[in-house]
Amino acid sequence: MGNTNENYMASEAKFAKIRKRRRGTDVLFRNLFRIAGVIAAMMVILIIIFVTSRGVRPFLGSAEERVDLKYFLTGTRWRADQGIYGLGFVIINTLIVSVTGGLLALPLAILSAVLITRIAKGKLSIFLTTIVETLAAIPSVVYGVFAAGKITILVRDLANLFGISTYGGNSSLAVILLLAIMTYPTMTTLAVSGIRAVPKELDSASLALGATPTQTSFKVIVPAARSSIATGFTLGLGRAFGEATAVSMIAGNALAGPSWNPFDITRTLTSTMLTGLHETSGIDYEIRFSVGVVLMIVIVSMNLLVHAAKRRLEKKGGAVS
Amino acid sequence: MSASKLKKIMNRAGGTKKETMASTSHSSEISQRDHIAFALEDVNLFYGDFQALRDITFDLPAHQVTAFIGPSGCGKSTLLRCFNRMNDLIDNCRIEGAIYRNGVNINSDSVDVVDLRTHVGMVFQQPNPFPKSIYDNVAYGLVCQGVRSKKVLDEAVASSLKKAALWDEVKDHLRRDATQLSGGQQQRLCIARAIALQPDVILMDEPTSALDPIATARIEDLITQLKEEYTIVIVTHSMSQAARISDKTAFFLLGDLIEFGPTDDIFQNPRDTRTEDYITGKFG
Amino acid sequence: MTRIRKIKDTVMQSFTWIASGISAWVLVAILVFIFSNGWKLLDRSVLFGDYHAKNIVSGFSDEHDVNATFTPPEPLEDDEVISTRFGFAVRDEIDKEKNHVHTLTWVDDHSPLRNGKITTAGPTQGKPAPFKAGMNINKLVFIDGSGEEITVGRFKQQSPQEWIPILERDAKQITEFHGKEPGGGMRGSLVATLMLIGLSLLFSVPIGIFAAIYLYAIAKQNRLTMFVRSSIELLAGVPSIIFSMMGITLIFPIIQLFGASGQSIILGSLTMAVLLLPVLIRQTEEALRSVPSSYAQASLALGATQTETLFRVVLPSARNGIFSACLLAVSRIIGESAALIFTMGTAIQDSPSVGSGATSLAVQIYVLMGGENPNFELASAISIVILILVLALNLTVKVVSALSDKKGKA
Repeated sequence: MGNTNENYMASEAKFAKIRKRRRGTDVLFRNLFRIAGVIAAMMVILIIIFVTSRGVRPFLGSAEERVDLKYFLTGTRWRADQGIYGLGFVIINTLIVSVTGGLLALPLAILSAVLITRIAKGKLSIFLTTIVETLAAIPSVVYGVFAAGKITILVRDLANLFGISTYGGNSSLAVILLLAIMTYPTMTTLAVSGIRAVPKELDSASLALGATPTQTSFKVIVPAARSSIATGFTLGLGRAFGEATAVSMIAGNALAGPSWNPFDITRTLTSTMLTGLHETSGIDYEIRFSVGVVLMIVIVSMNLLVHAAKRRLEKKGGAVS
Repeated sequence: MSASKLKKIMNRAGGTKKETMASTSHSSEISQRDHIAFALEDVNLFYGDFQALRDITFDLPAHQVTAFIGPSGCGKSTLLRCFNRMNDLIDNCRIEGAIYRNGVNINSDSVDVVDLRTHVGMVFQQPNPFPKSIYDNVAYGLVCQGVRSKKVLDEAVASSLKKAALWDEVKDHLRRDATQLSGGQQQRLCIARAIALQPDVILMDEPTSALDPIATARIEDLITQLKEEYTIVIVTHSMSQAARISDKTAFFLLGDLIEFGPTDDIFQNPRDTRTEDYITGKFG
Repeated sequence: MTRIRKIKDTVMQSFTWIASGISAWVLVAILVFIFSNGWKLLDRSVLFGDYHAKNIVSGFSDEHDVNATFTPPEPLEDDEVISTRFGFAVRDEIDKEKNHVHTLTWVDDHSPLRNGKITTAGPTQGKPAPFKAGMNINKLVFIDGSGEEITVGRFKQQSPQEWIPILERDAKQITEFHGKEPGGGMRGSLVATLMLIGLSLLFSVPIGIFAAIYLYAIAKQNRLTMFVRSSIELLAGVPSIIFSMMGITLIFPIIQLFGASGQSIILGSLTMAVLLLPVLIRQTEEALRSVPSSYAQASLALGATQTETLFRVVLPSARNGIFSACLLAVSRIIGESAALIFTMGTAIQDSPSVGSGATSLAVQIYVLMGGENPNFELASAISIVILILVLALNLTVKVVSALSDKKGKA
């Protein structure tokens, strides 16, 4: 022990007790941290289990009471008032509007990303990035208000030009435009970070071979960033599938489908879950959980599909980071 | 007796003849003698498959400054961290062998690591005061221990800062943020912070390599003063520093302890050619 | 470079400008639409007023001063009719439902209309019910010179130009006046949103920070940890409407045990708490990792336990990042709608309470936009409030992290 005269540690017994308490506190908190980690990790699984178990209920039970699963998955009419629940066309609608919207946003996102990272200088680049970030920060209800007030009017006027009448502008096209706007920020952000991660040597090599900076951007850099861009597309699609409030404000909720005509009203999985929530009861309420399960399946399937597509591309074209 | 075994015995207790005769007794018993701070026996340390320390055996003397020297990667810092079990924080680090302190092997599971570190303090290469006030930095260890009395803390802070030769410069600014001190002052603060716990041993890992020559000189003076109360182990890549301030020196190479003895002997009469080569600058 | 190549080059470049231009134009269009529709509505009565219109019957049980004369503070518009004896001015207006209403455009501070008390029987009887500018006045009952009760006002099919002179000429004592607070305010949702924020953070912040600490300090680099991380990342990708369903299926049965029933703010808060976990955990872990490891090492070397090191040294140094994480969480709560529609309900409340359903600002917008007659103006007004809050929070986060970066480099 230290050999100074004033020995603060003299009262050994007292400090031994404190030491024990400190050790106990340490162990306690370490376990609390573990528990928190477990809770956070378990949530996803719990969500899947609980929502699914509620969602399968309408299909169980006696033959008269239960909803026909086969028709649910493949049917083309949704009449809650008549007890007809065919979700098939809704699934197709959801895919149509989300994929179209995503495909509309993707080239714009890539072009914007090229501008932000390769063409625009410092302050302008920051300004453009701020625009994208602001778009990303706008909540979906606000997008819904804008869509109901402006986008539908646009669609309605456009349809009038062709002599087509619309349901006030609520249509597939309106939803597609809305989803394109809403997924654009995600795709742009990921494209930007993907492009920034491309090593400078590729740039130099291309320029040294006599390519212009623009050619380099599109022929070398963007392909090199395709992994991030694909991730951005996937994330954007996922959000498009799951977007609920804004879409339900302008979808129109078609009773039958699928809606191939862009000026027709449409119905998506999420709009089905939300519409008419105030006045529901019984099967009409319960079936929404089933629609939720279908939504989860659609999203997971899409992710798996993209994952598999990525793998196949890697095998063919060499390593993709 | 094989050469390596003989070398081991000679390295124990610093290699003087008288001490060699007594060194065949058990390390544990040796470590309980007043003049020995740590007795190491066949310490081997592995990072995964890589062996960083090989069969280290020697006795670290108390109330002296012992310098660990050797080229980069020779294991001197690793060994230093063994004395307060800071290597425990590294994944994949495995240690074999024993390090005895007061008769107890500090590597055994029964030893309270947290308690050990209040007896064996450490000063790091980069001064790392907490972003708190000077007072709170020095008092930190005691506060964690459970000391609450303001009087005791005030005394401890003052006494530690005095011993670290920093008191006069900061006594009117104890509440100032520690990160505003100069590099040399910060390092003295870190020394004060370690001293506040009244350890037996202070480990210093290249404490002056980040400081300018003037600050370095002040810390070297400080170390020479401190050895009256504490055992000091200092890792240094500067041989002149080792020659200036240490009483005993240990030379390491690729995980082996090549030679250990009084500093003057090592520097003027090294027994091993590798020691001589290193000291004369042929490598490292 | 050949001409063709140059043209191609310029064309491609212009495409990038057009793409960004479109996004800028869309952003401007959104902001212009929202602000132009909602700005004119933003005054104190909308921000802090009730949503639901309230009918009020106010009156006097004792006498009041009838000899005062009042003058309006500003000159009147053409169609405002003033009562100088009783200190108020009325104008005939058309409300949202295309009905005529007589709106009080000015009520003097000392006007008797300020001093009425509720006369309808019930729990609120006797409480002060001042009539203020902005309210509608439907009828007035007074006692004339001969002691008779006379009723005047819109309910008697009289225009302001007709009934106010009658009042001025004949009234000896006003006994009662009936009117309507037009409502259309967002205060209820504002309060509900604050409650939601408080409760959601209460549950999510501790768990989020502790889980982040687990990942930072305790979890080893093994497959189990990777599994935990993946689970948390997956949670971030779940659409918010699914969280809504989780709230009903997983959380509701639990709080039912504690006596809750139906949609409620508490259910919404717990749902939001789960939704916020990935954001909080990710940001907090980043903040923890940005603290130099030498602090933790020094603390441990001084004989502190890991827990002490965390609470005394690491967390305090990471507080900027953790604060940013909380701000981002608040921003998320304010903007969230789908997760709350199922769990908190769609009933706009003027006096929300934790145990019953209510609407947050975002959900109120959703409700207002539903149905045959969407209320664009109020929805836009609330959108403005939401946008200002969300953008201010995001800006603060950026400023805070820029400041911490500077500090770190100094």
